Amino acid sequence: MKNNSPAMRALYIILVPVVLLIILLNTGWLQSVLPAASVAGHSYTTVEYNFYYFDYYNAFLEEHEDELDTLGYDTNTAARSQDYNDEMTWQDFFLARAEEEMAECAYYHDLAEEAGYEFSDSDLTLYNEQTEHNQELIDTFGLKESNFYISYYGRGMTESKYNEMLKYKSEAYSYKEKLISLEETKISDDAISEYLSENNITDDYLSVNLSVITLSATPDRATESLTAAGLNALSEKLDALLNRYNGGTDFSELQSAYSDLQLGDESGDLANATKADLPDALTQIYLEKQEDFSEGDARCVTDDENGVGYFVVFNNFGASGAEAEASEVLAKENIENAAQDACESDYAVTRNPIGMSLATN
Amino acid sequence: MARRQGNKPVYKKKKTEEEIRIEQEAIEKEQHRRRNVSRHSVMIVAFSAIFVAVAFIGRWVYAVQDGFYDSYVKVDDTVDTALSGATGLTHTDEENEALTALGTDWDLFTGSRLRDEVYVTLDGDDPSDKESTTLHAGLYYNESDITVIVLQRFGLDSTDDFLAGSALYEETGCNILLPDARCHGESTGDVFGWGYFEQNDIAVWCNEIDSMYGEQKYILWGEGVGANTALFAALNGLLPDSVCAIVAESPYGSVHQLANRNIFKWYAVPGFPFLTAIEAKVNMTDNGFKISDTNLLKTIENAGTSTDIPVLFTYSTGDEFIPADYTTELIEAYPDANKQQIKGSGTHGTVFSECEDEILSQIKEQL
Repeated sequence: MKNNSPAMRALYIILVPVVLLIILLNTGWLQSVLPAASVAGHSYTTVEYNFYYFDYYNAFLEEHEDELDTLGYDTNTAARSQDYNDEMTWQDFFLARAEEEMAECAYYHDLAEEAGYEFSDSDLTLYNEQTEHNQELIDTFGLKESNFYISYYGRGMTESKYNEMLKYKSEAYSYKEKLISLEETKISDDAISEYLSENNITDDYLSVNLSVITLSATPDRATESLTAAGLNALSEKLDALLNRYNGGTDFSELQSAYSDLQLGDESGDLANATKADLPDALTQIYLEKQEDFSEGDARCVTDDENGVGYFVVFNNFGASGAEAEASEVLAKENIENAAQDACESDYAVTRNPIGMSLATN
Repeated sequence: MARRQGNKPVYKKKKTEEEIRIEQEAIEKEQHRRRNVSRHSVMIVAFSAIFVAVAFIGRWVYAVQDGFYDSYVKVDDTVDTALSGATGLTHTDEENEALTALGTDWDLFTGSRLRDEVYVTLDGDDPSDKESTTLHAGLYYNESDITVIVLQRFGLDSTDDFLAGSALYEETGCNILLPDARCHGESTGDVFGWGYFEQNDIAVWCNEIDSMYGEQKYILWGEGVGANTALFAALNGLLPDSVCAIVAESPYGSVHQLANRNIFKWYAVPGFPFLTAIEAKVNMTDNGFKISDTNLLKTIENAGTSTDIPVLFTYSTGDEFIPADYTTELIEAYPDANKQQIKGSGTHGTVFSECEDEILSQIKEQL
């Protein structure tokens, strides 16, 4: 048998690893094992880093799709080649926001663990919303699920990894909301008075405790827009709901059968609702007019502009609305400031150049 | 010729005639042997190729048989993909405009009412003889004593449009019940019986609505297999007396007839051996029904006498989904008493939009 010449041998020595590397990169295996960043002892592989990056990136594009030109971002050009401002490119901007979110999630998760908090299904609101949204995209574009995750979140991303990361994020932000609620009770009266005075908030109102069923008008199938006939149909449906309720059917039965659940918790309850919590159509009636509602007052309210109808049962008035709003704002500020301080110190993100070289691709 | 051994030339001995003859015989024998091997090799290769081809085709037939069985009898997750191959459901621009108008009316009807979800569990006497089946339907109750039971075509369920609904309500003030057939929507079931099991479910719904709202008059409105289901039930005496009319849109003679046409038209797969294999699987699996049980023409023949229930057959002459011939053949065979027909000229599903007044007038006569 002839021996290979040294040149051929050298070629094989270079070629085989290169081909292997290409295969590994294309399958996403390398991205799923190489570390890309770490935060306070938590290590993130390239795939995990990509989750935060593309989650922010995709949400940004969706939120600003009509004004990308104005913002100066061109989706046809690589983000690293476009300037966000004098100091950073668009990629730097997205990386910074993604790392902020990564650090925050790690921070809130650690706080929950320290407090011995046990996560449950009620902490998965964000998870449920996002997976539903993703399924809509998959159905709309006729994508295979495996292709969806690779297309939207980079090579190596699988449905199970995505779900794991999204669950983690959902739990973290749910715990943040719980911290804010707890913090609200600690806001002093002086702090609230100071806030109201600094923001010139003089008119006060009482917050309200409501039970709400939400219905949506069906858009016209030819024009896909709301029509007067559609809104009339919605009013009729609300009246039918009112008749059933007045006929003795339990609110909870009606709520579980018919509500679109856009407002309130799983039972349709809105506790201590302030102007920040209610849509304009309900704010005008329940927070601005502040009529002498009696407990159990049931009425139908339509928001013609948005094609939404509400069947509302008034339970009772709550605490001062302005004070409740102020305490919510101050509590949120306190929690977010603490998070920011932590993210700048103990939870600062450290990048790993090897993993980062494969990230965001 | 001399060859050299060392420095000495060695001369080959001249062969005798005997030796030459023996050598010749050996050569011929060898050539004969080689010819035999070649012939046998060809035969072996040919047989192997045929075996592989048969195994491949057999595997293919088996896969197709399984696939169609899962989609059209078990009605599993593959059904949407299977139905995406269906042809004959596209319409002209004019037809689309008319259908959209009806669709808008249906949206306004459903958008202005509360829809109740009704569940009935079948026990014991379920003809499919499997673990208990739960049937589901959506109900728009309008405080009427007339209820229209809508029997959708294969692949549709209670959330799909009933385009005649709004107009029917305007004319009669009726309630509208939209059942999910077995294995569709929220109704459970082991298999879909193509009308064979489902014919028994109509009486179940009638009893259920009567128990909820008092005695009703019922109109059955079926399309495709839904129409066949209503006709099976009528011919087999399975309908209560309170059913006063049937509207049968585009029924067909038998599942075999429809499948034999569609398997090639939709999927470019020949009836033989594929449909044969699928039907064999239906017949040999312990489902509770055979393909012959879904033959409506046979049922008409066996039923003999007419039924009392008036039937309004509707169809479109330009129907490429369920050919008009199949419906006219069925109409021809159906007992004469109390049958009417209205035909449109458009594609599948357009007869109501084309002949609305005529159809509604016929229905009102029966009420």
